[in-house]
Amino acid sequence: MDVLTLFQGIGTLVMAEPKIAIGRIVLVLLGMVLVYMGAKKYLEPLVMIPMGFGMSAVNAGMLFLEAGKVGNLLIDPLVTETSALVSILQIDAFQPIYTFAFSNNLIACIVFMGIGVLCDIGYLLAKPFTSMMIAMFAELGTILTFPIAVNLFGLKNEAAAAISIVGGADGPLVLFSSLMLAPELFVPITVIAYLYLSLCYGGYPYLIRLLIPKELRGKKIKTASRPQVTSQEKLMFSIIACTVLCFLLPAAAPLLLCFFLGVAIRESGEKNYISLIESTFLYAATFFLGFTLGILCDAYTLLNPTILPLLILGVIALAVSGVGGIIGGYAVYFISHRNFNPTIGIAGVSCVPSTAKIAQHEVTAAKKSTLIIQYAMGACVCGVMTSAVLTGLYITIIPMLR
Amino acid sequence: MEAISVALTIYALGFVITFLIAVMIKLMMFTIRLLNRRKPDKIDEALLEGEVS
Repeated sequence: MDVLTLFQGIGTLVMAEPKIAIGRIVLVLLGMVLVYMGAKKYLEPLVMIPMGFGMSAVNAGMLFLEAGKVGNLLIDPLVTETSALVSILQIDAFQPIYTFAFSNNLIACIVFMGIGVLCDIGYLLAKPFTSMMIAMFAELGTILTFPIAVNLFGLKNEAAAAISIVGGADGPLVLFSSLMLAPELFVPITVIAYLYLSLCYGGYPYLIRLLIPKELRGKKIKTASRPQVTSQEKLMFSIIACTVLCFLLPAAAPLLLCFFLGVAIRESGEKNYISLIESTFLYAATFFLGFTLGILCDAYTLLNPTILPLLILGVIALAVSGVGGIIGGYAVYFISHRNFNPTIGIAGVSCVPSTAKIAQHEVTAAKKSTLIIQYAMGACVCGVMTSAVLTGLYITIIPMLR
Repeated sequence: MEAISVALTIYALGFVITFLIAVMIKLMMFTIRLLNRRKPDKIDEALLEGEVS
């Protein structure tokens, strides 16, 4: 028996065209690097460890399927025909997770519910204009990437809008918008978005250090009294905001519902629900999100010519949003007569709670006694809301342009 | 050019919606605090009229 037929992972590699073979090897190695970087906390470990494993395994575990076709027994994201999908559901181990929980956005909704449970909206309610202003500045990447993608990269409006949402730095929203606007690019856009969101961890601190001098980074905010907002007020806000936003943006209703439900559960003080969502739902959803993203990263899916522009546009979107957030921070700094720390601006990029943690980390590095996390979380939560608003607007307006 | 105008329209609408949300938050907080402030008065009145022991 031929050795290459016996060990089909190697056989498919040897017989594949060079581009695919090299791509598979690179992705296997990249998966290992992601696991290492996640374990060392350079990248977000909750997503990167399962993602890296999935990426390595799916590119190593290729085999010959019927009619000489090369594939894997993990997942087939490109199958669309119903009878073929039913067959695949019975064969591929993780296809049910992809079909019934990932591609319909269920996992993203659960992640959003978990984010809602983690978020304290107290500062947002106490200083809504400040928080919203920072968050809107931090959406600059979401806005500027769209014309760049259409005019410079020749992308269609739908694909351009889907990749622009990466600037909102909210994985679930990117997933949702690419599914609604450009389902054919759903896999690459989602993978790129999550990879880049993890890179925020590594890149944004340098952006902060580049644009904000050390004395400003360590600046304390003088307040007469700490804003007091009761749980009852937060609870009422969550139900009213959810209803109003669902009226305005029905396309984003599933995500808005889950986010505000999470906030309401947190403020209701239902400990059993809080614990269930915070420690079970959120971790399970994040795990399967990372894992599914990993097994979606097979060379045959990712190595198509549309990927390169998406890779560049993703970087542009996140970098411009970061710069926009810091501009927003400076704007509030000058409006409030220099009684504000512009580093908080980066938290408006959303990516709850990573950007808020990055802002606090950089501030602490500049001056140990300065605490800005409560303000940063306010901007961060507003970032989620403004991202949801802009996603809803893109999803509503772009199809009208056809 | 069309793409730029679409993006700017979306940004402008986004600003309007977020401004309205901020106004809504302010109004809501004002109303809730106004109603909460009235509660003690009502209890005092009820005590005077002997409705509450």
